[in-house]
Amino acid sequence: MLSSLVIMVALALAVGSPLKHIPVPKPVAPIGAELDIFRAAAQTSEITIRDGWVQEAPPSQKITAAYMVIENHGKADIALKRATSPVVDVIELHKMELSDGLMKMRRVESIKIPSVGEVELKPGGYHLMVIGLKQPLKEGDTVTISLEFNDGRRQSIEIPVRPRSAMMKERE
Amino acid sequence: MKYFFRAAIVSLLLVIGWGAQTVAIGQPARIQTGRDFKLTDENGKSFNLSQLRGKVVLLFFGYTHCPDACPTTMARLARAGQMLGKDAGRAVTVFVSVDPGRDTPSVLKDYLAYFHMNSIGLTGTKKEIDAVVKEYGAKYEIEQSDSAAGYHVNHSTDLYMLDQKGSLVQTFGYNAGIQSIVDGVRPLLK
Repeated sequence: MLSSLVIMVALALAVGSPLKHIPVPKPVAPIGAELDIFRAAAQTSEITIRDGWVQEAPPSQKITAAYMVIENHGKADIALKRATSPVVDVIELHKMELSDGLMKMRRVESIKIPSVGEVELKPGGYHLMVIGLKQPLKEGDTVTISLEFNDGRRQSIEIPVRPRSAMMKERE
Repeated sequence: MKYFFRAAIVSLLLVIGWGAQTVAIGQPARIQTGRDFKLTDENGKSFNLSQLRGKVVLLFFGYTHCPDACPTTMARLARAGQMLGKDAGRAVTVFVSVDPGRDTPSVLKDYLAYFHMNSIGLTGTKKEIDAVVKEYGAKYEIEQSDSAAGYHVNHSTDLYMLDQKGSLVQTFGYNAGIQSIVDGVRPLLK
């Protein structure tokens, strides 16, 4: 009985021992990490927004769409909940779907961006539905849009106005 | 024997190819060759499709409040027109609104002017529009929504190509690229 216990302990030590030689990285606390301001900055940098553009609308149209790629470098999924801009009345989150031969548009509550992943808002998929333009948006203008995520983070972006044709790829 | 198999395979491929073509065209049986229809153009004038005999027609059902699919299609067609070069005037885009409640002739005029292309915008009463939609095997539905943009119009996004006699010769699905539209139009202009 005693001998079997000894063997078990010996085995456990033998199996466990190589681990002792693997250096375990110690969490390095950045200087000032205990300060909220640093934490906030680090959090924001986990989200990168690139390739954003607002579709130029025909002059009489009061609605248009905005597109972009949202990257989430963080370890947790996040969700875009809300967007606002001073140049429009309302921005909603919408999704286009081709089903039963119909191009359907549906309003969504949020757009999930998986951890260490990205979501592309693009024609035929998700877009920010920009409603009630206070002035016509023309190519060359830039629009500030504030994005709000489910964890309370906010990020402001400035993106250019481009005609749909300018953003069209050759294969389209 | 070898030749027999080869011939059999070729015929089989032909049959498959023909079948695929038929599927791509959609519901051609519903469309009568050269059948005319009457709607109202972007200048508020009565317009018969037959006025476009002699031109290749690219017909699309959409609405101006459409934020995504319609501007994409119109931008594709504008680019296709540029690619056709001097022949662009021999092909015309016809944008038939499925949202007569908002798309008045003047709204359509302004909308189409933006795309700088050879185009005609058509609207009408719901009854008139529905008849044309049905004839082409297209469809749409008005969906009430809580969106600040008002109701949505879900609609089919096929592009119908009619030859100079008004016969439907090809239907392009929504994912057809600019080049395939140009390649479809060009042979008709020869």
